[in-house]
Amino acid sequence: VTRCAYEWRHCILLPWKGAAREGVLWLMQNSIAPFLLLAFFSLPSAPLCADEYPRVYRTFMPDAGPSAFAVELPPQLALCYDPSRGGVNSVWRGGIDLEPTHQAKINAPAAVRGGVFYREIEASPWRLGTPEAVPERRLNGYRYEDGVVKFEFTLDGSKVVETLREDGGGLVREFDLSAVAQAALFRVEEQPEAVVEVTGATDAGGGWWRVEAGGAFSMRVSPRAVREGRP
Amino acid sequence: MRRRCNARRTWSVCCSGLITLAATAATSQAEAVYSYQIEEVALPAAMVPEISGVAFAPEGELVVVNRRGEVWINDAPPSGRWHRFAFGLHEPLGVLAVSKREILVTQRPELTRLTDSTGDGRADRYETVNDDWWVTDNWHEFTFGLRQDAEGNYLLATGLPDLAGPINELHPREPLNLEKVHQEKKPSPGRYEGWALKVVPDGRLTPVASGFRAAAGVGLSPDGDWFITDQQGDYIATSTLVHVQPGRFYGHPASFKWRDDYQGPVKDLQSLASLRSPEAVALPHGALGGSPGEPVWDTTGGRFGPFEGQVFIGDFTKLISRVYLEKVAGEFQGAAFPFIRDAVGLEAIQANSGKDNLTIPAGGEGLKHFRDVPPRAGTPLRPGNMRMAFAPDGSLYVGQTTRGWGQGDGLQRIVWSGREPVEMKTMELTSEGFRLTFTAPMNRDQLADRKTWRVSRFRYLYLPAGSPRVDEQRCEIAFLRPAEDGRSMEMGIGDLQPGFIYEVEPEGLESAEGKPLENPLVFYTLNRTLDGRVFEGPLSEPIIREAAVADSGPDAEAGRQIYATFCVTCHQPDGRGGGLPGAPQLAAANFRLRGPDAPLSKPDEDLLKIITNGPEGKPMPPFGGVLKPGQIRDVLAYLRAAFGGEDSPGE
Repeated sequence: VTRCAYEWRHCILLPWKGAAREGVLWLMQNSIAPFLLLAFFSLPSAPLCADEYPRVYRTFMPDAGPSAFAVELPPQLALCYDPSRGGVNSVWRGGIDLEPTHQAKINAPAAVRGGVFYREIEASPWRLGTPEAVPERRLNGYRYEDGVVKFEFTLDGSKVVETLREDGGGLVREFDLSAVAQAALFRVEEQPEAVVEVTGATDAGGGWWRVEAGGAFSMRVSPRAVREGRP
Repeated sequence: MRRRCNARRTWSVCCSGLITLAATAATSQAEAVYSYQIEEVALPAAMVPEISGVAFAPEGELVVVNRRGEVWINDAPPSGRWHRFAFGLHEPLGVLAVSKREILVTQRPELTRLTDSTGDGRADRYETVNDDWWVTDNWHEFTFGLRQDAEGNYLLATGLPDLAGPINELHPREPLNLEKVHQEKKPSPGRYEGWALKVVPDGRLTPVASGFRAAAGVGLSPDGDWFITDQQGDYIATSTLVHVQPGRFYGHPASFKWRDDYQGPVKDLQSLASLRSPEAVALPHGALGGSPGEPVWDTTGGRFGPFEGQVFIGDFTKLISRVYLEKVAGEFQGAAFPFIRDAVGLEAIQANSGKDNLTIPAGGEGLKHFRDVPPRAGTPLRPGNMRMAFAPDGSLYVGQTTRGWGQGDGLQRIVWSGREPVEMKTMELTSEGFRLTFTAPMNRDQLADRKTWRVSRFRYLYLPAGSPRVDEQRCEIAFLRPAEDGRSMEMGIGDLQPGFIYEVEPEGLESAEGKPLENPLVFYTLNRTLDGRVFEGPLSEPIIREAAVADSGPDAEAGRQIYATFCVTCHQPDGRGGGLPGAPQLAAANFRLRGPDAPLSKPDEDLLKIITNGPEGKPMPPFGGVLKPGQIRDVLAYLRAAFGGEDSPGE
């Protein structure tokens, strides 16, 4: 039932692909063609996140702070963005199922649909000025712009813009710190299932990367399997 | 357990019978009686109709939000075109439309400004205006309402979490504070949970008042007074309409610790009680619903009928109430009337078992005061009436959401037919009692007849577990002085005392033209007398001992009211009983019979047991869980007086 509901949602979201599935669903609901039902579920699953625009949902997310974000980036990437922690908590190929969050009075967190390949442990990956100075991080919101999502937050009151986009099956995070008047440090953790590459910042050792005052840098997170040509 | 199930089943039989019978009778009469009609507002198929916010933009566009996190705009309500403006919000329960391109919403974690900067009808900017209150992801941790005052401040409120569900302790937004202030079960682990909050135009948060349990409705009067409805439960004995004033504490202790002057746990309930400010108006549990939503003021200039300036409050049950406020000795208090009620099955109310299928949050205490209302003709009122807004055309839009507590989501509008309703319009306090005004000239003979009026009073106690009605008393009517035109009446009350809720229930009262009162019930919350006296007795103890009540003997008049509520549909007004509605093979007892086998020939002891436990092998449910022993004695006294006396015709 959950899967049907989920697929139905995607039928609505993907009308050009949804027509065929809608018909199959109708047959399914009327129980007149079980062989079609079998064939339907035997078909390779359509991309769960195949819309042309990114989508941001604020909701109950597993392993995250309260009221985090589920972000779907087309065609097949999703992530948990946690405003009370470092930002991107986890990334996976697939989508997000919101049905568990609004079925009853007491609900479960949203369900991750896909394999997580990036998981951030560090709750406070930012430093300002010195390695000891943990800045206050406040969410300012987000916006959709030119087909990407841009989150805005402040570090000790200075605005940072983080652009999230999909690229080659991985995630690109672009940070604009032009409003930050101090050098910043950002922690990048070792990832067993992902390759993380940083551009525009200097390796400060111990997993920390340094960006000068008013600078910008980007971080590419790719599934290790894809980079290594594994299925 | 089996007995309980059987009881529910028999209730079900009775209820379906009640509803069926009432529906048949009501359908033919209702259209002629109702001055307000209910209409459905068509929603787009793509919208999940869990409507959790309703507002109108300055140009008249209708803006609704739903609990799935979407914002939809209708360009020409009620029949215009819908488009989705925004999505992905976390259970928004309040909306304010600055324009069709700028809309503010309260989500669980924050106040958000949504902006369509490109003019394509879709919000592309989701700006955090403020998120300085904490959340923990608990299911009951709602953020309610949104109003903007004349200074541009945004007004909202937060509810307390409920430990029936988890709190996110693994990844807290800030370290949690689980300290208890005074034995509370519902905690306030995050800052400003259970508060009325103000966000000033530059985005800073100002905590204003504490002590709320589930402050589901935020409203602003035309004069700029801020009101909040809170919902019945622990410490909040009955649902309330509270006038929010800075620094005040309104009863639920969990949030008290976030005050700047908090000194640590409060051991003594009396000390806590002395800090509490009373509500402006109590909405008695059961009789006036169970969970009130958003209060809205009629500022339609008469396009919604004769109640300009009054407050309308939707409820989770199939009810919209109306409140008349007045300032007495410097504080708001006033009267609460039912405005639109629709049938609610007793079975649904009895399903209040604390499980996820909870239907109506009325509980046993609320059920006791529940009045069986015949179903309306035409479009019925749905439950879940938590959000309302007056449209530019003067109709009242009602957004409904019931998730987890029942079924029946959607959007309806209440439209005044233009025909003057026959209602009690206001109830004001006087030095000797009350002044009632009416929307139409009333039958003066009936107004002046004491038999028309049943006046009683009661209190609720301030207790951790909530409170039933206590200190219930019939009130002596000192005088009745109808005005010449029949549009008002002075009612003198003997021993008029503050600290009580006065219930006035006229029976059979008609207009001068012979039309019945549409809603013959009103409750006046008398916190202060005109000379400023307030209740000085104990706030957490009754002042009339139960023994004293029992010593007063059974009250046949009180029993008549109970009979009219619970018994009359099966046993009939004349006591002859007969076949049950929808189940003619099941006959209700005929109290007019005489002889050794007649029902009333049994001794009192046997009859009290039958009413309490239900008769063996018959569908009548046990009333022991619904009525107090004294009330069951009252019913029996009424049966004896009305149907068993020598003057009564036996058959």
